[in-house]
Amino acid sequence: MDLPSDVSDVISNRIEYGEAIIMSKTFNRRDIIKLVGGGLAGMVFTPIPWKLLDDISIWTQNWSWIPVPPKGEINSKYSICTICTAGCGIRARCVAGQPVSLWGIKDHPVNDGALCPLGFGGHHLAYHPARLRHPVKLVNDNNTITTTEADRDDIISIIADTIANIGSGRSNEIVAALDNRPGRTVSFAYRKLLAEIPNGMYVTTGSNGTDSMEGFSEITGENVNTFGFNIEKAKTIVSFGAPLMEGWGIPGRVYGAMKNGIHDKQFKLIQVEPRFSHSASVADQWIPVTPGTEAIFALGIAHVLIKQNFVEEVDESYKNLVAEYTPQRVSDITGIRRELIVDTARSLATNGPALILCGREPAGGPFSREEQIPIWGLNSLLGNIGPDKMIVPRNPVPAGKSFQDTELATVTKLSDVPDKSIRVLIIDESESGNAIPWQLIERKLVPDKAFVVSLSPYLVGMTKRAHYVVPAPTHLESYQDIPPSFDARTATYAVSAPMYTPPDKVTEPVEFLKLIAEKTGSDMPTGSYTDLIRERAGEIHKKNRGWVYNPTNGRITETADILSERQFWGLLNDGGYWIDEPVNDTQVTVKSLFGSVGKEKLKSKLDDISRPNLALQVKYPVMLVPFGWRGVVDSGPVTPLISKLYQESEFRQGTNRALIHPDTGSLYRLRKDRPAKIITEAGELTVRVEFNDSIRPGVVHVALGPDQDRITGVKEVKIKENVLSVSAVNGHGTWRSTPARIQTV
Amino acid sequence: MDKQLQVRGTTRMEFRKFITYLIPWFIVLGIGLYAMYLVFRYGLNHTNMDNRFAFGLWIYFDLAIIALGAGAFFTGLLLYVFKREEFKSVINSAVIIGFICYSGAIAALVVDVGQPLRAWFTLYRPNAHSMLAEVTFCLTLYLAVLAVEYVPIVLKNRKLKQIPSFLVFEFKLHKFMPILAGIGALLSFFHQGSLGGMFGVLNGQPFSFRETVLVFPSTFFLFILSAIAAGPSFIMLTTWLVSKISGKKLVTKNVFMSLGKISGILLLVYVLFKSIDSLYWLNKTSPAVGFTVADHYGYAPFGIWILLLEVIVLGLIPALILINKKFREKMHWLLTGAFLACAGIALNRFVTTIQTLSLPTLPFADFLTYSPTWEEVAIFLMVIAYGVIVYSFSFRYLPLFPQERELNSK
Amino acid sequence: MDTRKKIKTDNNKTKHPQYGMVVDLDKCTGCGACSVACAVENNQQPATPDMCSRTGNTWRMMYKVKNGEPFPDTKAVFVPMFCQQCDDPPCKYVCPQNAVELDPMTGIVAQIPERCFGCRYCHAACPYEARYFNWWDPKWPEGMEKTLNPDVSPRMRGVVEKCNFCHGRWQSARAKAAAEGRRELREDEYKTACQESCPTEAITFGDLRDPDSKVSKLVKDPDTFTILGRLGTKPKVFYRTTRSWVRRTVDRDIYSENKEKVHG
Repeated sequence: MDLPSDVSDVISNRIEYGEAIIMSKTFNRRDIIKLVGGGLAGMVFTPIPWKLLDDISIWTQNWSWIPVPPKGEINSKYSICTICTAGCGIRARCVAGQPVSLWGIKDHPVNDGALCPLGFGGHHLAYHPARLRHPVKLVNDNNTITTTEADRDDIISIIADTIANIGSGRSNEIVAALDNRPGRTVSFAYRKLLAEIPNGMYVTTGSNGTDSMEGFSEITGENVNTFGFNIEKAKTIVSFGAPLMEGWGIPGRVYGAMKNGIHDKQFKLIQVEPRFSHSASVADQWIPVTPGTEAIFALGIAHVLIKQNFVEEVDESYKNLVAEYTPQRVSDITGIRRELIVDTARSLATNGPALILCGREPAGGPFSREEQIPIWGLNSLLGNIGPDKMIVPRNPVPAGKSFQDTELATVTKLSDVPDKSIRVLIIDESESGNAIPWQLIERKLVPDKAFVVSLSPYLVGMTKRAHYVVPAPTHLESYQDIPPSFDARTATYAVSAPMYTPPDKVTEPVEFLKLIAEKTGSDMPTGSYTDLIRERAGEIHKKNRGWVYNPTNGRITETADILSERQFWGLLNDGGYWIDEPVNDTQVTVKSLFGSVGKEKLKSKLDDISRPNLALQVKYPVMLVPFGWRGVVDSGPVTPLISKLYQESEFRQGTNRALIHPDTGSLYRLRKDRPAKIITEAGELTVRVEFNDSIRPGVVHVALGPDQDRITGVKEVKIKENVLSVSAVNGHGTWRSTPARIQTV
Repeated sequence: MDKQLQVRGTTRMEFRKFITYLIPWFIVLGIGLYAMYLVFRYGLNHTNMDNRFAFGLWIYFDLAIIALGAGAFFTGLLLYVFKREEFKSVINSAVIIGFICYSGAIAALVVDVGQPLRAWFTLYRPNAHSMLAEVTFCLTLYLAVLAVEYVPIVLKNRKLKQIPSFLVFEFKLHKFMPILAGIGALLSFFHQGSLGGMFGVLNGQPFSFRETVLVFPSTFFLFILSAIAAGPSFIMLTTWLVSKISGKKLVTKNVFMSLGKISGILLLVYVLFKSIDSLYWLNKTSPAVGFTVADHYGYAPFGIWILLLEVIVLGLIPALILINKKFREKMHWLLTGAFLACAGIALNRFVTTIQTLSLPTLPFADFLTYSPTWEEVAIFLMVIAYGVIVYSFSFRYLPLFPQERELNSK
Repeated sequence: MDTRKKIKTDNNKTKHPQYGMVVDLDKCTGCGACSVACAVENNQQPATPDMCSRTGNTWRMMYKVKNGEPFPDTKAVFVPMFCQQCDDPPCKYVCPQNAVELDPMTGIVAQIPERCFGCRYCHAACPYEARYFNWWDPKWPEGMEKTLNPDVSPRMRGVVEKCNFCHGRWQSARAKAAAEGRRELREDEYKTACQESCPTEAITFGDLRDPDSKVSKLVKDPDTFTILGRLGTKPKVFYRTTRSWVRRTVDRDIYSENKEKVHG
């Protein structure tokens, strides 16, 4: 081997100096290295590394902390969704009794296979992180809520003592229960108890949809709970802000109308709404009126209908009023082209039957009574009201025997309750799906002294304002009865049978009321809630009317053919739906197209809308309009998977996202995706700017979406500002638009 | 002890000063390691990458340093295979830079993938169609080659040299160098090409999709060409930088000029092919699937200027500077040319990764922007710090520049 | 030469069903039920607090696509976007570890999470942005893991996932048919979750190979098209509309043809 010279030098040097080139006999450092090295090399021939590799590969297949879905026998259970007032029939796919998914039932007479995104996650709600499992006392420290476990009996004692105090004195203070879903058996129980105790008042908000039918009630003098809509028969629907695609009425019904294609030549949807909402996108025609001028647009249509002789008989004084609203004038006020007003009126008259709907923006609330009157009036002009027409009468659903022939508290609208009068408020947190600003309730409470108890299963939304919470069973945890949705054509009745067992310390609201009755010595029916529901089902069975749909086999049986009450109850228990016959023998007369408001007052109110307040516009140049989706804008929890439509996509806007036209944005020097401040008379709100060129310039639409605590729960519960906190909530309970100012932060 | 480890006949800064100089780099390394911990412990949500911007700073960085690290294999190829002896004076440095670039790239890749423990699946059961599988194979193998090439340099350390068996080993390894250089070059050609091919095959992304030439998309060849064009320039720049920092003359000027000349010629060839490729793509390939120039260059800030900048300012101009002997003789021109060439390649890699992902392909998708998080930047800087540290130690204790002793003796 | 043409699938030779879908854009009301039903069916994780639209996990992403006109002339159409189950899937060819496979039995592009090491090269390859990476550890609120679908395993952090036409449902349907001694599935036996959830029946799903299936009849309709069809990935998901502006806005092909003034 030829070694380079320096190498041989080194070697010879070492030999010269007698350094150890020859292996030393003693065990030295080098030997240790050799041993370790050799050992490592030898290890390859043992199973150890291979076992390790194997383990690592198995471990990396899926981590042990990733949940493994439980297996078990798979079957189907049928029930009714109770998340909102629609009452959709559901089929649960259960694994060993545990629902793992919920589905709409095809050909179901109520929802026809449809379920909304929230309904699809209904089976998550029992496990929602915001769930309360025992009564709690809430302490609000600077909008941060802390909870301590409370004793239910103590809460009842406080309520009973307060009631006794009110009873003994000459106090005008009120004991009230707030029910967003009137018509249920528990609603009757509230009314029964409140009739028993002094100054009891049963309060509803109309957020279930009836608040947008007030105008109808005004012109006909009828109870809105006995009217529904014949959507299926309509060839043209003009929706004044009714969020048909954002979850209005029974969503499945509306969607059912779209099965032949929305742009089917047979059917026309005209959406009158300032915002380019989902409904507006789906509609054949979007009429983007200036916020707040919908009623004027309705008058413009009425004007054309009358002038072009599409309407036969009209009251002269109404003619006079309408005559003022020429297409040109309406165009000036609403910002809609003249031709469009005329065309809309024509298509109403020629592509009939046409149904005019007046809706509630889920977050933005209903139209005021005065605005509703001309809108519903169009239905009267078109002769839409009456059996087999567009707006049809329906029978009321009978109450259970315990609540018949006994005194019940009358139904009072929240807006009719005197301010600063409620001493004890029991909030039934069964959600209607639509938003109620807390200010509306707060102003009715006796300042500093009011005692608020929420019967909500969750510590979210309005419940955070309560002093105590006595959690009720949640969705699919107990028997609930389902009265008809406000839009239902006929009376309906169904029972949501439970699929889960509620936690121990959860109290059914009826039981809570019974405990109060016991303490105050009031008279209450003794049966359990389920018994009371069953009793009501018995009453319906006795009427011998209508049919029952059985989802297990898809069959429809005449009620008359169901021989026993037991069989009827059994059917309802399996997700059966009772559907009443349509009412054919009632004639509905329109009392006055001005309603109880009267011509003069209506006219002056409409003039107010028509005349912009220039002085106010200087200070508040933009218009703040809240918006949101039904079921998400209310006070309850939502399935965590709703994040797929909010946070994880740009499909729906989450809380405090502000939609602004880019021109408006640049006018106020706002930047995309940056925070901005909205200032109104009611306060300030920081929003996040989203530019959208489909928005009317000068308008800021702010979304009311699901807060984090309502989606996945939060560690620290807080009351957060939202668009409703800065909206001008007026006495009539509307807050659809608010003059505002917007600036960068 | 420190003195005894240093290369005989060279002077290095005082040990304490050396350490003080390294402290900031160790801090950067430490921050990077912490960021790495965060990513491994909590996942890639610590980055600003997302479902569409699935590649970010790290992939861009990998592509860029792998391209610049090409100097290692290319100089080796020139020296050992084509017997261009003048490159003996930079080969050690080139090998170390190559090693740093490749190992750094792999470190960044390990953080970048979601399940690094499964990365060996690619070697075990690869998808032969996948350019990325090709890249993985070549990268791992070539890193091994670089490590083997690095060993003899380490063994040349004054102290280690005293162990005769090491010396023998080193000597024996030396004999393999031409073979290793050959293998290295082959592997490098493939992975450089495959990195380009990775984007060229994406028929779902009309911005990066290119026609196929001899089985591979054109970017395969363009990436090889651009890498070998920029590699020598990068060697030149690093050598110059080390010489500036250490205040030592390290190589003779003719080495720089040779590097510059090779870079210049290759760059010119590259610019020619790149221009043909771009024109063909803009006029044929992309319109065939309905994408026009406006679809690729119509979104601010990525206007057509970026293509012109890449091809002309950072391509043609440095190529002309470097092939012109008059310019080459002037050190500042030589360095300017080399810098522009490297910048051009870095821009090319940027366009390939980042612009591809920014541009919408779906008719209703948006143009997206991306900016890295501190964790991404920290890990990127960590790799650079790692490079600086490894190189500094190597420069201090290993004979990187054989001409140094001679050039600095008075 | 064009790689697109060179890559051929074996699927042309199989006799197995090749599943495909037609989404009727004229029926979609943008209710979003399909997105949530899909998430429930496929055990997708709920969002973590800092997830956003770019890092979420929505196998079925809803887009509101506008006609580009400002107020008041804006029109919009809802377009659900999900894995288009290409017959020449670009994602399959790029995956280094064979984690993407084109199942010859169904034509479904399967993503095998156990093989995926999360390099996300497939994300870059997919023109439809249909692939989702698990940027976070999947986490369900306590107790909610009881509601997971037993037919689908949840995925771990660091791997890619996407729509697979509810493969779990196909397997269940097959097992059921096998129990009855049948090899082939009837049309209504295998439905995807989105199809089942759609309230307006905008989704038609079935075997493209069967000339009598509803889906293959719809595919032949001139109003049916694929999005980005010219890229040559041969999607098996089709969209349908009779509205010309929708077609122009959503369908890249027509859109570019118009720009080039080739025809129409």
